[in-house]
Amino acid sequence: MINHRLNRIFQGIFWVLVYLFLTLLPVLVMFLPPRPPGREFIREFSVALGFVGLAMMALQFALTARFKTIKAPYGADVVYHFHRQISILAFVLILVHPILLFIPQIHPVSILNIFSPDTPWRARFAVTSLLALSGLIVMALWRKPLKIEYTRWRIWHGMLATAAVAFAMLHVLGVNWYINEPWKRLLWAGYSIFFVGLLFYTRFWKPWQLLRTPYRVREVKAERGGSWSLVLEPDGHAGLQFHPGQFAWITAFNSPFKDAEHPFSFSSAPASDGSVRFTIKELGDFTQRIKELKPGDKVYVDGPYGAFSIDRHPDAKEFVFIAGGVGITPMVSMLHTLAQRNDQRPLLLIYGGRDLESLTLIEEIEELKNRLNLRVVYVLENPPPGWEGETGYITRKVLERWLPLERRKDRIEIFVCGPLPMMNSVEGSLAKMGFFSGDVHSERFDLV
Amino acid sequence: MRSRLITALTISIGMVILLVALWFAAVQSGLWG
Repeated sequence: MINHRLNRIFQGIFWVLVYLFLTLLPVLVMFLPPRPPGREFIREFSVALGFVGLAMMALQFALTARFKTIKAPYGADVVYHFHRQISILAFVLILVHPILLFIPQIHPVSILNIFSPDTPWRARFAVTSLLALSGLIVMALWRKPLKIEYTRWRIWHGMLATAAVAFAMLHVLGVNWYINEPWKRLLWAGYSIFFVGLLFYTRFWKPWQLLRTPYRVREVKAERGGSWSLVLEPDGHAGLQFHPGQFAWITAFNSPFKDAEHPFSFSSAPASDGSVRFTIKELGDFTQRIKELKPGDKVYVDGPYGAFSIDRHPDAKEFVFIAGGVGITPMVSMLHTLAQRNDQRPLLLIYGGRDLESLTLIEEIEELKNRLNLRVVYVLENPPPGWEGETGYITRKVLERWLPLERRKDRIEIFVCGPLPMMNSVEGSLAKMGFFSGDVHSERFDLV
Repeated sequence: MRSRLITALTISIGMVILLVALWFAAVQSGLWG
């Protein structure tokens, strides 16, 4: 257990150092002789920030390219959260880059007018890149208030990001100051090839791989709580191997080249015939259409992803699952797997929902109680008459009543999944109750 | 908890970048070294 954890910590630190090195590499290379003649401090500072900002933007493509090795030590949501925060930092650096040049009037502000015949092309490229980046940031931070549909947003996000980096690269080539040496130009050629390679990988190679390994719908079944279970079987291939609790990106009604995929947790245990099940709540445009799928329809599954799994904690003495709403799906996958393995470790499931009718997969959970050493606590906001169980929300008081008293590190592994406010509140309560943050696991998908 | 860690990591990376950029500018402009 300790070895597993230490290994993950070292892997995590390693990738942070790789990130920092690649971010700073352009500045370090610029600094190597022979250097062009020195200029004013403010101009050199501005240039350094611009180069670092550009390297960060190019590296964003690596963060979101879904390389399983990079995500393994953290989990997908941590990488996306980092992607989001580091984007804001990159944006600030890139914004400061021209501002610093305008303050001492190294360049006139009029250079921002890309339509003026006096504006050089290098400045036009820079302004276009900055505009694309600004649009990207605004759409990412305020997608919901701006009422931009998720699939459309993803397409715009990809296009604006590509434009921002491509125009920034053209700006660097146009300025042609710190890339005066052939081997320095080689570095930038390397960054460009890396960037184009990543685009090729995510936009062509991966969709092509998915196209070659389709799944067929076996069954679409209505569940409680406005959810639908979608059972898929591999079509002409062995299917994917996943750990219970993980998730995959699903493309339905479209070709994988259309970039119209959505992430969902598996709700089944890994099956020998490669079939998989997802249980999806009707929440948005795509999820409302799941019920329209018919047996035999083609669906593409890109996965598995995520670090939210009991399989990462083989030595735990006890597992606790805390779910809200459709956050139950990865928990059910883990419970089915434990039952399949005839695992008799003590398990506790705390499952919150609006009412009994909204508790998705409750029948399966009741059946699993007979096969596992499992206690289940339902927490209902609107309990039926005569209900003697927990009511309201999954508060600290509820957790204190049911969670084991044992607080020793690495003994109990706790999994939390549900709506964001519920997860934040439960995680806060668990921390106050003395559980170690390393033993509390969660994954957040609702990032944009 | 984890989001706070990520924020701390982002701020730390920002500080390192800022220091390296300042160092580069100081040396290259002849202010230092």
